[in-house]
Amino acid sequence: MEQELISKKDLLEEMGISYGQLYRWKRKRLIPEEWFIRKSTFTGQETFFPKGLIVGRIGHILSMKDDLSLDELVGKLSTLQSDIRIRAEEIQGRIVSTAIMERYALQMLDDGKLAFDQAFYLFVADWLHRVLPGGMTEDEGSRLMQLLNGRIPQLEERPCQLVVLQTSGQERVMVLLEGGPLYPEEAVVIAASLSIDEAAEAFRSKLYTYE
Amino acid sequence: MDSKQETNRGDLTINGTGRAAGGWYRNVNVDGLATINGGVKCETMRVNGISKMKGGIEADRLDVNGIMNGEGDIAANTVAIEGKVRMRGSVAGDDIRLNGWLKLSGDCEAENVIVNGGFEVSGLLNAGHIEIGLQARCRVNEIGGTSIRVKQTNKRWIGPLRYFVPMIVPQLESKLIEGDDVTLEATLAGVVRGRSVIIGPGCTIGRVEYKTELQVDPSSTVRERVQI
Repeated sequence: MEQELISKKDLLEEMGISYGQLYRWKRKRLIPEEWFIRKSTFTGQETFFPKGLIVGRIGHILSMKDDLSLDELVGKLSTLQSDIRIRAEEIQGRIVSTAIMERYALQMLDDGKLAFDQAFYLFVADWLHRVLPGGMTEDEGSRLMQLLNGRIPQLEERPCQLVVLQTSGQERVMVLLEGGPLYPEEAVVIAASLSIDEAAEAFRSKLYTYE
Repeated sequence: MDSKQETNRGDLTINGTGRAAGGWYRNVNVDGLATINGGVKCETMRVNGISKMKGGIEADRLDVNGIMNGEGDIAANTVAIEGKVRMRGSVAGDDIRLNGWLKLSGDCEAENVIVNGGFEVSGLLNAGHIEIGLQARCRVNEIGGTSIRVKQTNKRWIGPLRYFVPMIVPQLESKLIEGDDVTLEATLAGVVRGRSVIIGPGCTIGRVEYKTELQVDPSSTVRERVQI
């Protein structure tokens, strides 16, 4: 998967920002470490960025920085990620299997692109599909999408856990759990459990690795 | 860790020789020799003497008067080091003041970094305001920030000792220095990029890329100069 990259020098030029600003945003974690890609060029080593992602992010920071202090911006990182649009073909096959993409991605696509959280939900669905015995049925998948779409934004980045319970009648129920243990009745088994935070971490690291 | 423990944290005091577990404390005071087996979270940590850390430190304020060795990341608003610190990890904070020697295997990030001494940082030194008074060898992979100032302090006699103990030669070595306002002295660098770059005496720079101004002291060599 070939990504368009932009060198640091060109980026500063294009966005009209300075080294100081760029390094400050990096310190504040507004620009993730994974976006700094080192490559050797004829003038020595240079840093490159994935162009689509970084230009969107910096545009976002610049437009919000008049209203918010940097620290407030950091708190808004979840909304910041909404500036990220991921092209469907970028994740298809590499991060999310083609079957899952075909099933659920179509209605989310906007101009061939996916919002960051939508892509993440697909990633979760893909994982569940692989982990659950017999895979997910189409109905379960759309219920999962509904659950994630509806509830995750409400949690405002608080850590939570996705748990799939299975009754003896092979019926599956999906629950989002915010802390605390879960005690199901005896006949119910926990078929799968996934920390959303860890999943998000795994998703990001997969998304930002470039060959 | 639940919130109850968070409010009822006790102090950790070690006078003389001692060992302690890591964990949550309010104040950590070490006078003497201590080994701390694990990460520490506290409000203030003060080390007078020698301490060995087997874990990171998360504190509001960290004072080291003496020696601290160990592994783990340090995150503290204020870090003041008078002495020697060697950590396998990174340091992040608001204000970092170093009078002495610091060795890190990771990065060093802060708003203000004021150094009087020497250091060896394997990663990136990233700070808004960086002021380095060279007393010994300062070696860092990359430096980035808004204003970067490197000054030679009063020279003392080194003579042929420089060949035997290269660490005591007051010089900054870095592959890459990037900032808005960069003022350098006694620096050996591969590439320097900045808006305004002032190269003082005793520098050897491979390539300088600048935007508005460049001054080079006649005693320094700059192989390539590029205005962007």
